[in-house]
Amino acid sequence: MSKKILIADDDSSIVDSITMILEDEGYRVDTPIRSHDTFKTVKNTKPDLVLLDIWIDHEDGRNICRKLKSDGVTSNIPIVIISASQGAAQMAIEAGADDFISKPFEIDELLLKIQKNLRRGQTHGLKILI
Amino acid sequence: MENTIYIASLVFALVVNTFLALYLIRTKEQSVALLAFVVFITLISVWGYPQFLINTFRIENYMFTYLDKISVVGYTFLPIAFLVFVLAFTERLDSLRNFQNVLLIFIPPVLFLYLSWNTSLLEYHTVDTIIHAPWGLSSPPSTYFIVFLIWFETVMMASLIILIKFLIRTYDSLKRRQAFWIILSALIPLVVGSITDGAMPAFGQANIIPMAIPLTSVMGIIITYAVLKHDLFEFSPTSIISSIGEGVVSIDSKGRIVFANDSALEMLKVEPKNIFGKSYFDVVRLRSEEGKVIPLKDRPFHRALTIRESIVGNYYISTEKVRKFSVAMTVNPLIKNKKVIGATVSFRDITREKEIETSKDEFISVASHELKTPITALKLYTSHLERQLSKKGDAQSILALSKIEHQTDRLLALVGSLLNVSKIKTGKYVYNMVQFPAQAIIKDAILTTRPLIKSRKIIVKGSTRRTLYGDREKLTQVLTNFITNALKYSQKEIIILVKDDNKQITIGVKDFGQGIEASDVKHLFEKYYRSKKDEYSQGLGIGLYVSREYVIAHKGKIWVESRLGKGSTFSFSIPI
Repeated sequence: MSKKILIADDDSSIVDSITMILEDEGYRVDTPIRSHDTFKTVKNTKPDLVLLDIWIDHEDGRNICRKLKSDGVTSNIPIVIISASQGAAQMAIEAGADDFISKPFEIDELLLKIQKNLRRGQTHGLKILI
Repeated sequence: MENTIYIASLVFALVVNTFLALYLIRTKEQSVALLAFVVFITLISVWGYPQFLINTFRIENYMFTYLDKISVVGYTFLPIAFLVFVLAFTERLDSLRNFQNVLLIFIPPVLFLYLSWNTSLLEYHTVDTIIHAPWGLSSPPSTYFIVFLIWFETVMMASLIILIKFLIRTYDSLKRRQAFWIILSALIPLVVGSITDGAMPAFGQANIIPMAIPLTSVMGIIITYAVLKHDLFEFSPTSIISSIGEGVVSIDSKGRIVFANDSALEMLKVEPKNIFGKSYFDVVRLRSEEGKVIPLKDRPFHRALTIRESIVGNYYISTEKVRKFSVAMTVNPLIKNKKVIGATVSFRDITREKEIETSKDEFISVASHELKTPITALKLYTSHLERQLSKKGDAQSILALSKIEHQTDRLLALVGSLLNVSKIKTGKYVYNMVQFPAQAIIKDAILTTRPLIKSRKIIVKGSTRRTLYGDREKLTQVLTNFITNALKYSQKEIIILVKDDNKQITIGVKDFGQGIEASDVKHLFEKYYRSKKDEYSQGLGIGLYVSREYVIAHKGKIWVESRLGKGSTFSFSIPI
């Protein structure tokens, strides 16, 4: 079964273009219907990875990130934060995100980060199983 | 009454002169020139009133003598008052600082006055010697009156010559206009009056009409006209400085305030009586743009006095009643006879400009941030399409797409540069200071620019083993900017020059391109500057601006040497 990735970004062009690429790569892609539903959607659908914009509809993506990481059900899901500002890497790590990618990015860079974090998520999951 | 007309003209002259004197003395802007002029017309009245009384009433002998002696004071000092006025007006008062000159000017009238009062060498002052001229009564001249007359005319002529020379030489249209009206008005009573009241009696033609005093009424009328119509005396340098929008404060060499114009008083919210003579440093507190208190020895006033040059900068100033506000300030040393006698500080409130600048930078920051998102999407769509097409092997479409991609990257680079500038301006830029080998700057920069270099030749001359403390990435960026520019503007080889003189490390990039116009050189490191010739090349010209900010943050220097047609060398140095 192919991996499921959730994209939470309030810019439809980003969601659309990433979806197109990821689906082409064989991933299943999901997006929350409304961005402020992100936490609920992740909890319900349990994706294998979350791509999270640092600002969603004036809401601080880091809060969503912290919430997800502190919830038992979702804490193991890798989160990659997307941001346009350079200082955001530090902020992303502080918020507990697993990785960070800054706009603008190349396809290959994005795919690499997704693969890397999916693998890490797997080993993480395995550890829990053991 | 045979002298009615004479009396009437005397009355007219005296009324006009008195009112003129009162009017001028009450004008707001007092100057030595104005005061001397008021003295001048007052002396005419001193001369005229006794004449009026003598001619109007039947006067006793002792009274006649008394009045006539007062009258003498008036015309004896008249030429001196006029001379002082002319010297002040033409800004030559300095010549009166010399004691010898003062004696030379004041001894003759005092001497003449003494002789006139106490002897009969110059004039007679008794009723029985009085002459009945057609229009009035006059004291007859004596043997040596001619000596007095020659002195009188000489001083008057000298004053007029100074004034006329000034009129010819000066380029100050206001002063020219003023000088013209003064010459015109003073010339009439002086020339004609000298003939009728001086020369004619001296040569025995005493029974002529004495015209000097009535003619001064003509002068009074002309000057009144000039005052009302042409603002004569209104536009003194002081009134101009007082009215300008910039705050102007003059300070003597001991730091005491000697002058402050209206704008300065208003901006600093101080009363003249509370600041004149007070220490400037007690009245005005100064902070740097970063908000730090500037120590006394580093204040622009002291620096201007020490290096004897103007100091220009932006500061925060505050006083007892005013909270700190931003000013653009210029401090000019006042140098007289090679001696620094003080300084003049001029300043302008730039709070509004600063606000605009900040909001503009914020706008750029937000705008470029917002621009990044659609460009990212654009890039993603393009690469996706490229992948699809490469599976199908559509080489032609891929070529077109790669061009779209290239342009997208260009757009991104521009947005990135804009963001950088706004970051530097808002002070957001964080420098990652580390110890690193200086040579790494050259290696890193060449590595970064390799895709651009292609077949071009880059020669590195010199090297260093020194370790630098600084932001490796940002210093590399400076050199990268230099190399990128050199590649853009020159088709020949490029030389990277490295110099280490134990004090600083200098890195330069020499190209053999077209060179830079001298007029462009000084603006080259400004924000958004681009040469007019440069319309076809890329970039917003902020690369050099950013480079300058980086280098300055390292306490270094950045400069360019260029010769048209030969090429340019861009260099920066970082102290060790």
